[in-house]
Order: sequence, then structure tokens, then C-alpha cells
Amino acid sequence: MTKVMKRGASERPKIIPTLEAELIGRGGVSSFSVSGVVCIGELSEEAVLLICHGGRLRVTGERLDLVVFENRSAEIRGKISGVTLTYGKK
Amino acid sequence: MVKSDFFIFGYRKISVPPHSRLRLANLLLRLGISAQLGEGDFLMRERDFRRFRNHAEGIEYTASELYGIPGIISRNRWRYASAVALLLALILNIFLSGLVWDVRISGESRLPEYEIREALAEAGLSVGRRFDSLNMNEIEHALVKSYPKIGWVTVNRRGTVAYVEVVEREGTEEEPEEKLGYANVVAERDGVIDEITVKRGVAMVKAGDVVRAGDVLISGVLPEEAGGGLCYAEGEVWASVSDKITVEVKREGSDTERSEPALSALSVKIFGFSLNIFKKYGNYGEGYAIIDDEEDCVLFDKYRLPVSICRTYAYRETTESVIYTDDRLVEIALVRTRAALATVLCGGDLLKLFTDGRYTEDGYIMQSTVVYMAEVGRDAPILAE
Repeated sequence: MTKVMKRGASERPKIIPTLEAELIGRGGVSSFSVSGVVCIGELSEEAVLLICHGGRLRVTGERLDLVVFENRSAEIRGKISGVTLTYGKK
Repeated sequence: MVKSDFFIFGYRKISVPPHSRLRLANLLLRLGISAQLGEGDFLMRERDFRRFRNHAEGIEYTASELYGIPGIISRNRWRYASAVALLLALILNIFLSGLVWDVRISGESRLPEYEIREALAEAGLSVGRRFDSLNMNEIEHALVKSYPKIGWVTVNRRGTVAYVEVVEREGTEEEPEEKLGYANVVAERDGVIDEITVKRGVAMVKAGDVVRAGDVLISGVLPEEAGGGLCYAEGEVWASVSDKITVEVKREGSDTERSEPALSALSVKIFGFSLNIFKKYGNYGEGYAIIDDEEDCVLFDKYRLPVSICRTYAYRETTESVIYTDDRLVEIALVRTRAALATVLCGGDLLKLFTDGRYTEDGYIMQSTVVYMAEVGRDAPILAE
């Protein structure tokens, strides 16, 4: 089947969520970087909920900091005790 | 620690109450603004703040004044003196960093440092000159040309200091001149021989012999046993000789009185430019003597600065006629005798000194007989008949 596109249209690039984790190693501090974040569901020192395309990521711990970047990435830094991945935005 | 782009382009400190943090985080994510949302305040770039401000309806926040360079300029824009001072400092920094602040000389050379500095100054390298007006190759060539003993020289610039490294040419010791012809060593004056050392020739006297001026001490005529013929006699002959020193001092004389030197002018030299601090005397009249003293400034006894302090001292000398007392006559005679003795003894060792003096109608006469040891040999060429 021939794909028909309207003149002047272009394919919208897909946002593929990625996840990176790094243990800094100083007093149990670690960081999580997530790209493709749609919105932030919860933000506190003990828990951060990030909603991405296709899933949700909930990070729990102590003294959590959230850093947002221009390219819709977010980084969570702090003493992370738990990470929960859930499929679906709800 | 503030990031450098925040400081250069300006930033603000944003304070948000805890219940607004979630809305703020989503707004920043949507607008594509970078920020670290920890506990307490966070920093936001000025250009991001302007975008944020337009979309922040319903979010409680407090923004500080503008920080960073744009903030400093904005708060001080009416302080013209600060801007002028800053500009002046920048210009001075650019200008002064191109000047020679110090010349440091190192390397293996027996030449005195002040001579090398003088030669460098003649070639164009001295404190206060601009580096970009100097041709290092020409300076190196000029130095090697001025001193044939220098085998290699290099001039390098590090910052505002010129480093000059000098290496002497090997084997530059002067070789003794080969003497040509034939000669005897004869006595220059009367004396009693103390010591004779023959390098070439035949000794004609020994220690203890009394010799008169002109007597042959070392002969250039070689005996048959030594091959015969003539040579240039060489050697050292030391003898005890005597001299008379007579000093006469007139009773009518003059005394010069000198006042205590007083600081009359002070100036500071920076890069060769003289800056007068004060000057007490306009013109130095007759009877004034001037001492100029220039002192270089050195940091930690090691690093010469391009700054020197110049002090001028003036003192007055007055000369008046006096009639010397007897004691004063003897004192002056002693001083003059000592000076004459130093001249006579030049190169010799004093053995004995007899001094006698008497007063005359005009003043005082002091006579001294000096016995000392000196080298008495001199070359006397043997002329072919």
C-alpha cells in the first residue's frame, strides 16, 4: 500500500524514552537520568514520579533533587532507595 | 558555585514555596528551561527568566535582583569613575605586559654581569623597552660580536622577563706571549738578593749577594755544557731594597670642612621614566658637592623590579686658610708619609721603617727610610754587534 503524505508534511520524530543510572559512590548518592519526560507527577524529597511516553518511573529515597533539562530530560539525584517502573501513563 | 555562563549573561535567584514546586517543575519542563529544583532557592538564567515570567501565572515565586556581569553593570551604570577606572586598568595591563620588566642573566661565563647588561643595553635590550620592538636575533649577534669570548648566547621572553643565557667559548685562556730575541735579566736598583728563581738562562748571583743597578742577575748566554748560544733569560729575583721618603708640611695651610650630606631630591624611576617626588634646591650654587644614588627595587632579594629610587644628597665644602699647630703638622705629615709608603711598597713586602721628623721655620719635615723586599729584575736585550 502506498503511503500518501500531504505536500510539505514531514514525519514527526519519535521520542524514545531512555534511562541512565549512575552510582556516584559518595555516601550512597546516585543519580538517574531519564529522557522523554512528558510531565512530573510527584515531587518531594522522598519521592519523585516521572511520566514518560509508555510508562511511569517512581523513585523513592532521601534528600532527592530534581534537575530538568531543555531537551525534556530529567535527572534525579540523591540517596535513592527504590525505583519502580510501571507500563502505561496511568 | 555559579556556572560561568550564568555569571557572564546574568542570572536570578528564584524562591518557590513547597506547594508550588510541582507546578513549577512541569512548567520548566514544558518551556525547556534547565533548573535544579532542590530544597530552597534555585538559579535561573536571565534569558530563561524572561520566558518563565510570561508563563508563570498562578505560580507563587520570588525573584531576586539581577546578578552576574549584567547586574553589576546595571547597578553601577551611573558610576562613571568606576567604568573609567576599569577601562584604564585594562589599558595599563595590556600596555605594561608588553614591556621588559627585568633582564635575568645566567650561564657559564666569567664576564661580569654588569658588562653583559651594558652590552645588552647597547644592543637595545634593557628594562622599559617594548618586546615587539626588539629583534632577539640581532641582539644575540651583537652580543657575540662585542665579546669574542662568548661562544653562544640566547635571549628568550617569558611573560615580561627577558632571560639571557650566555656560554663562554672553550679554550679562551690567553697563552703567554713567546718572547723573541735574546736578553739578560739585570738589576733595576741596588739591593741585597733574597731569592732567585731561574726559568731560562744562567743565574749569576745567589741569595745574600749585594748587587748594584745594572748588574746581570740571570744571563742569557748559555754555557757550552748546555749547548751554548744565546737565549731570552727569564726568572724572578727578589731583593731587599731601601728608599727614602721625605714629606714637608708648611705651617700655613688650608682646611676643608664638609657639612653633613642632606637629602635634597628624591625621584622614582619606572621603566626608565623619572617621576620627581620632591626637590629642595633649585640650583646648586658654588661650594656644593652632589652625590647621586640610585637603588634598584628587588623582591624577595631575588627578583629585580623595573622600579628604582634615586636620591640626591648635597653637602657643602668650605675651605679656609689656617695656621697649623705643631700636633696638626705631625698629623698631616704622617698621613702624607703613609700615602707615599703605599706607593713605594706597591707589590713589595715591608721589612723595616725608620721615621724621623723635625720642625723648621716654615713648618715640619718628616723623613722615613723604608727597607722592603721587591722584585728587582728587568729584561735587558742582548744586542748583536
